[in-house]
Amino acid sequence: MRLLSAVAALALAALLVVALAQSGAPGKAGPRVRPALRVTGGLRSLYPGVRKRLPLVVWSNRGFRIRVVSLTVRVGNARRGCGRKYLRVGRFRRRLVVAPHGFRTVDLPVTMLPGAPDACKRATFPLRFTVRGRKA
Amino acid sequence: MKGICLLLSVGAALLLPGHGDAAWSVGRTGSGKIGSKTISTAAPAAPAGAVSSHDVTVTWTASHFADGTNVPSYIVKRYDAITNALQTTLSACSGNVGATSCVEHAVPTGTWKYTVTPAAGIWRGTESAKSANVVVLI
Repeated sequence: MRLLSAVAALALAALLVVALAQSGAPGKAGPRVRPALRVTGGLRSLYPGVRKRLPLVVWSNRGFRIRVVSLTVRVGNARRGCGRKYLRVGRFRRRLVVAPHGFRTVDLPVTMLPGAPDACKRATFPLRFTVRGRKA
Repeated sequence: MKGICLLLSVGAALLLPGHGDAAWSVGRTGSGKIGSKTISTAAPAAPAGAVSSHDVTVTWTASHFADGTNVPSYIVKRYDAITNALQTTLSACSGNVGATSCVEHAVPTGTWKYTVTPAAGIWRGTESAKSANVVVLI
């Protein structure tokens, strides 16, 4: 009976390791796996006061449908005198399901504020995307 | 024995991915960039003015960003042709003009010169050369 209990405990531990590895949870110990979702995109034609659409592509590398539950864009400073405060990126609000090993496009409104100074001429704002998904 | 089997089943159901619909966070999952334009430093050609009574129609050619696309607006200025003093531009050439022509109404009698400056928000391009004299008679 003790042997069976030990085997059961070992099996549970193995399952836990597998689950953590496949969840892709950041900062957790375990084998490194590719995130299920990846986002790419950008834009290069802003000037003060203009409102454009930021085209993004959400890629899935999993073999099942994934519903995107959140997608956030973090804007970095372009350079000294041209901080991220001069850029506004809208929120992701729509329903989006990505097909197995597929991709979907989405665009978010982006505005360079009318008061963006000359330091923002020919500037590049770095973007960081964070996406959360759920099996559809 | 049954207890152990039950424990293993429950553990598998809870831990194996693909079961249930738990959301997962995947941290930073991509990067990109947003670039901005800049107005070409080349000065626009001098505008032209045409008088009709006390209305002056000012026209000019489009200016461009460095990437070749048109700038969205222009600032029109009027100078006294004799003293070079900057005047207050009147409607409908005041502020940011979103076209390549405008009609300034009720221009006072005098001899004037016009310039245009490309504008995008608070960005300004290079001011054009002054137009030929525009004479508004009594």
